[in-house]
Amino acid sequence: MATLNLSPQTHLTVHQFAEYFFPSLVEKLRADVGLALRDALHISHSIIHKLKGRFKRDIQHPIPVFQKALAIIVDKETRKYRILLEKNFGLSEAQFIEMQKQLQEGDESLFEHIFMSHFDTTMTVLKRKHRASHQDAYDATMNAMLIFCRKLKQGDIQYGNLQFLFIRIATHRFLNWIKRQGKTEAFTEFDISEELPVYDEETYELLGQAFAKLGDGCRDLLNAFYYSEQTLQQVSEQTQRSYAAIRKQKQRCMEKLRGFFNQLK
Amino acid sequence: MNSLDKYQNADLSPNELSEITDQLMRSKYDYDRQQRWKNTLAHKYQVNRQSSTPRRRRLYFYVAGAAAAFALLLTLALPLLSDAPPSYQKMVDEYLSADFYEHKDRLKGDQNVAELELLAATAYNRKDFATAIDLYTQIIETGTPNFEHYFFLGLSELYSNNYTAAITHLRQAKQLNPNSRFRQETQWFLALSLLKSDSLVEGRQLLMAIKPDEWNYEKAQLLLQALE
Repeated sequence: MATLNLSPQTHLTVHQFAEYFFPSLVEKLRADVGLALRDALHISHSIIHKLKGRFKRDIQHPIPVFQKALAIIVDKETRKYRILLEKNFGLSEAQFIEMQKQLQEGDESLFEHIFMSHFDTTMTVLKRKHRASHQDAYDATMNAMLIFCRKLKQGDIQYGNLQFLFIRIATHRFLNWIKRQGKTEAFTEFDISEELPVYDEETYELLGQAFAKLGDGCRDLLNAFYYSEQTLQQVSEQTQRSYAAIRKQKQRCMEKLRGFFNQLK
Repeated sequence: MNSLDKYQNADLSPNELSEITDQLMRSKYDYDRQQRWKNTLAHKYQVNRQSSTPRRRRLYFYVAGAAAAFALLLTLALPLLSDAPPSYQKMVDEYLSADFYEHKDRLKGDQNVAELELLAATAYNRKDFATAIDLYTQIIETGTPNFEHYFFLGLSELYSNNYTAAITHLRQAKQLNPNSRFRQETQWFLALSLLKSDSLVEGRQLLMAIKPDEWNYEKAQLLLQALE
């Protein structure tokens, strides 16, 4: 692994070894495991931290002793990492944070790409495990995607096991639906209570037209609240305007929107 | 009184207005997302709400065929039954509002795409066409424009109902690269823009040039029927 001019007989402390070998460890993780630089750095730090825990700080050992210990930790950590990726739709924690950031900035493309790639799998789980019909599985998964999108923007979902959580939400939606049809008992294990009312297409169309009539300022502000799910506080910080001013502007924009909507209706 | 009735008729307190606007806007954004996702799921991932088992698929084709025939009949009969604007105009509007053409390249995660392009594509996909137009114009003015920039600038103008500008930019896209990967799309949207600006002869010619195996052939045929 190391390309430094150190002989195997060289004795080092664990800290010296870590300092010398850290860059080659990062490179090895990038080349062999195919990690992005950010993830390779993150895992390398974790590996080195574990290595340091195995040796006394001031005692020197020959390099092969550290290399042997390192190989075991690397193997264990990369296996853990792969399992973690598997549980999170192939996303590393850094990629998850990036996706969340993009969502909060109004860009849903990465989110869509990831969740649509796993849409079919989730439907299959619902069909096999809960005997959902194709359409019910589709609707429940679609609904789960909407909830996931909103919750991610609001920062309510943590990295860890996104796939499990996504399937749980879809399952909850499906079971809730059949409960309303009187087919089964309530499913209360998982709490996702918010449900938005559904309006007819004409209402959405008119609302879209009314929204388009607003000025740029109002459109941006309402988009920040309802599309990007930002709070008054976040918008206030981003725009460097006072909380009260933003609240007042939001109120005015909502009134304008309502006015345009009622003119069109 | 439901929330929509309240929104339209009643005197609302600031809190009620906030609550109902919240419901309406979030519900609308969810609706838009669902339409967009359904489309992408069907075209990119071959996942449809309708099951694709052979029996159902056959039934689907029968139903779709009957629906298409009915739609065609309706299209032909409408001009005779009403004084409304010509039906091809309505059809163009329907096509434009129902099938939003997404900038899919953002999905590929190409890290070399310049920041302005990313911003423009993001604004476009968010349907913030005013911003998309500004950004694409900036790209064209400052950089080395390619057909894609003109294509999405043209689409942004078209979705903003600026048909003359849409025609200009879609023509520029076509001129820059007549055989681009957006050739069929450019032809289709240029035809729609021409119809919207009442340039019927050229619009019809472009629709007629769409071949049976090309994108939106069926829709083009329906439009041609409506134009007769």
